[in-house]
Parts: sequence; C-alpha cells; structure tokens
Amino acid sequence: MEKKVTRIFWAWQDAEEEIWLRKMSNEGWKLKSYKSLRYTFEQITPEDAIYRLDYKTTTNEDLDEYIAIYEDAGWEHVAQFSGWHYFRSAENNSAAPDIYSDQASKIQKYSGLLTTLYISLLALLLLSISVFLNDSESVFFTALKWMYVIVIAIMVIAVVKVLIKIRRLKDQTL
Amino acid sequence: MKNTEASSFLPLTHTTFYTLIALEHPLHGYGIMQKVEHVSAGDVKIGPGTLYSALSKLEKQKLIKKVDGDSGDRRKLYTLTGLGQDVIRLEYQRLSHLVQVGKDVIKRMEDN
Repeated sequence: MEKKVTRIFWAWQDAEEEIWLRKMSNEGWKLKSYKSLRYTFEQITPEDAIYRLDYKTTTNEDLDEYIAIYEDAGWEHVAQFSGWHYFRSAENNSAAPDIYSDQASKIQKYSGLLTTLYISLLALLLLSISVFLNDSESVFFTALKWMYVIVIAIMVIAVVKVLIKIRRLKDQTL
Repeated sequence: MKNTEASSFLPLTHTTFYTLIALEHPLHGYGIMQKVEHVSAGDVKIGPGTLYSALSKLEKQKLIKKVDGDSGDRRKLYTLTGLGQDVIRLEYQRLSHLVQVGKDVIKRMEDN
C-alpha cells in the first residue's frame, strides 16, 4: 500500500525533515519518492530507520559513483529532488551514524545550498524589477507584486537561516 | 616552484590527510573508508558525504586522479598524483616539526 503526504519543510529545515521521516518509518511508512512537497510512502513493517538529507552541488555526471559510495557505507538512496538526496539506514546498521564525519564537509553542504539560494534570489529580484516598475494598479499587478514580495521574503529568510547554520558549525570547529 | 604549489594545500584536515595516505595504492571510495578505519585502528570513520566531497575536491585540485579501469563498474578507482605525493611529504614534515616542538615543551614542563 502507498500513501501520499503533502508537507512543507523549508530549505533550512533538513534536520526536522530527517526526524519526521524517521517517525514515519517507525509508524510503518518508508519514503519511496519526493517531488515538490509531495512525499510518497510505501507501507512496511514498522522499523526504526535514520534518514539523512544531502545537498549535492556537483554535476550529476558522477551520480552513479556518488550513490555507490553511500550504498557501500550502508545507506540506501531512496529519493532525490533538485539537488537534495534522501538516504536511509536501518538503525541496527553498523554504518556511521552520520553521512558527514567532520565539520568542514558539513559546512560545505550548506555553502552549496547557500550558493543555489543566492542565485535563485538574484534571478527573482531581476524578474521582479519589471513588475515593480509597472505602476498599474490593476488587481492582477497588485496580486503579482504581493506574490513577489512574499517569495522574496521567504528566500531572504532562507538565506539568513542557512547563514546562521553555517556560522554555528564554524563556531564548533575550533 | 613545485614545492610552493604543494605547500599551498597545507595544513590538511584529518579527513584529507587520511584520504591521501590511503591512496598509496589505487582504491575506490569504499576501499578508502575501510583502509582509513584500519590504519587509524577504528578511530577515524569517514562518512560517505565527507568522503565524496573530499574526493571531488582533491580531484579538482589534482592531488588525486581517477584510474582508467573497467568502465562497466560504477565505482571509480583513485590514485595519488605526483602533486599529491608532494603534499603528503610536506604535511608529514610540518606534523613532525609540530611533534618535535611539542615534545621539547613537554619535556621542559616535566623537568620543572
């Protein structure tokens, strides 16, 4: 049996998402795929499993090798969506409890995410210029302006949240 | 100068140093993880995310390179480049120096 769940986790909430996916597994639902806020689960015997989300910034030419390294280390690649990769490991697996074993590489994951966020924010700002320069007061333009304001605000929050995450990791380094 | 180029990579992180010395002989990703765990007597376990990012970075910096092998296998073999060997040598000298300096200080502290 399958079930689909729609749920929003923002880009900075990867740790919360991992916890939720673990809870789902304990309730007998294993993640099968993820696409645009839609999670597809398949029913399994309840099992404690750890999930880890990685953000991959390099080109996908080496995707096979990337997945092979994780699989060899005991992680199952269960889903992927725009740079995010979902890995699952049974709790009793002797594999390392985390996919990152040092702060430097963990920081690199969030730096990669930050670069994507900066580019998206820049693209959004450029796109919004023409809308904001248009002084039409029609309902359509007003709605469009508000939509841009909201999306840009969310992007700015995401950038700040990820910057804070990176700062915290750097503080732990010394 | 070759050495100036190699020295620009110093100091290495724990992970980088272990990854480089593990590549004394060609290995694939999982082989590196196992070798590092073995030479560090179980002390250092490199996570797959950390290893993947170390490998792609080291390859870009030309400290390691892929070995042409069986193209059917999705696991790639890596080996050290000449530059990579120079970096190991320089890092070893740097660490030896640190150990020596530390040793002298500890000896003096004990004498007092």
